Amino acid sequence: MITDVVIVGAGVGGITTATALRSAGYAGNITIFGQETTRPYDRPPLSKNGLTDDPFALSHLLTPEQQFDDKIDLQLGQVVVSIDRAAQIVTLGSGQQVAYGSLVIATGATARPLPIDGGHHALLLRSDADARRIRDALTHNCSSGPSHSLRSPLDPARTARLVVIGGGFIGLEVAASARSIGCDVTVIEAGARLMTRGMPPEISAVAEAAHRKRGINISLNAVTQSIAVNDDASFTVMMKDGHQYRADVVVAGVGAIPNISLAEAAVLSIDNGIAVDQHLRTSDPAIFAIGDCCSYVHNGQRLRLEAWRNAVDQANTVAQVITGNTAPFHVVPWFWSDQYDLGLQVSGLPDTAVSSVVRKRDDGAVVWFGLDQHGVLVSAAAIGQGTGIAKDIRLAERLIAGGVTPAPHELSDPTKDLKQLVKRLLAAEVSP
Amino acid sequence: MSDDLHWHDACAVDDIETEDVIGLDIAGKPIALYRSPDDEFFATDGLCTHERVKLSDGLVMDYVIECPKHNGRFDYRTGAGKGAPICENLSTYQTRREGDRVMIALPN
Repeated sequence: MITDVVIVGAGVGGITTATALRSAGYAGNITIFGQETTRPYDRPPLSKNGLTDDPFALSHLLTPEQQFDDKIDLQLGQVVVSIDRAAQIVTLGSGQQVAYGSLVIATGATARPLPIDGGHHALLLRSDADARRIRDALTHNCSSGPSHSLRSPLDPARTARLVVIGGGFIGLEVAASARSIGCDVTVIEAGARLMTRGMPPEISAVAEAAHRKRGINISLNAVTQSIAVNDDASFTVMMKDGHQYRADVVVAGVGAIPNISLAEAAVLSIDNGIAVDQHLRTSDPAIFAIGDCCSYVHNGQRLRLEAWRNAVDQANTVAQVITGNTAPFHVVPWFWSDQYDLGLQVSGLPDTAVSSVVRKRDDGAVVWFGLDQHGVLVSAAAIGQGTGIAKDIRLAERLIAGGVTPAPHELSDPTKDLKQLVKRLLAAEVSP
Repeated sequence: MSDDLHWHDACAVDDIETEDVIGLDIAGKPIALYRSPDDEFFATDGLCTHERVKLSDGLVMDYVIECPKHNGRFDYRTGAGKGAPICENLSTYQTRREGDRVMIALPN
């Protein structure tokens, strides 16, 4: 029997592809193979409530009812080991073979291990099991079996010392969550500032101040050399400059590696991830790749994003392409992070800006706008309470998508209404 | 089933700008109250069905509210979700104007 669409990966990209196909009226068979045995779940909460709430309830991506209604054949604990492109057949670890009309690779990424001596002592965060491991290590409520004597349980009256290696989104979210449950937290970052990859310096500075104010020890320009285990089962994190940190728990958030081995073995084009075209097709027209594992061309530059919304947007696009719509994938990149009660959002790529202006709102929120050499708005980033900055970023996203050149003072002046700016500039663009 | 409804005084008409939303807590229930571009009032649940995020921080454009975090979109007149990641529609509630006040009907 022919299975029409086969999806490899049951993360948000894979699951959204399936539901979006049904929303688009797709009537063929849909099979999803997921490597994890846990029912598909949303990963963003893992670094937030996933570390502070015990028990923590996973946010599932697909209810059994929805799976039934949408006739989605969800096969968990199944690894796709090879693709026979000529025959359009995938082979599972069990040896079972399944034919496809279209294949969607949504295999995601793997947390990058810390490439130093003793780096394996640093816990990584990607799955619900990872989150549980970190939570247990922080709270010492190790109830996961009889053999939790691997590390001696600490005196519960003592505060757990956490060292986070990597001051990016994941590292800072872990730091914030651990701090909010009372841990003593140090963040070690090799770069000169926090979130170098994702955020402009002005927003990093606000975040850094917020973390320091809440008692986090931050060490910048700090390169980790090794991690050693002490007699009392604590760790010593040794720095290149001779500094040492004692920790009960070490977590590393130093990036992710795209899961491309399946695509590589099938000799699909690889270029910082599985290379796809504007319709998210790989070098084989019957095979698509979406989410963290793929790279696509954005404004002339090949880009691989590790982001929830990118996976969702690409899943929606691939569903459209499979059902015959040829609209290319073109959205403005967008990320969010939550640290304490602060929300951070960024739209566009901050490092494509050559100049910037900052809007300081009355409520303490800071919104950054990045412009290119022609004065075109190319990126916006913000930090503020809760989701209070969402509207400004969403409006900025429309301006970015429109390729308009707003006057810098209209962006920086908090009394200027961004929605009116959007209406004026985008209306001016469509009028003759 | 109007017998089961109770009308609550929600806010003043001028508390919401045209084409915008505010968040309210009415009888312990989070509510999002919208004023459409043609100055009609609509009410929905205050939290997004997807991740319980406050919709009042979202952007209103025409008759659509966008969730402030996941970009889920709803028609706030009907509560209908518009595509992934929304899998559940928002509940909507009747509204009416009484002078310069906006009233919302909630089930008892």
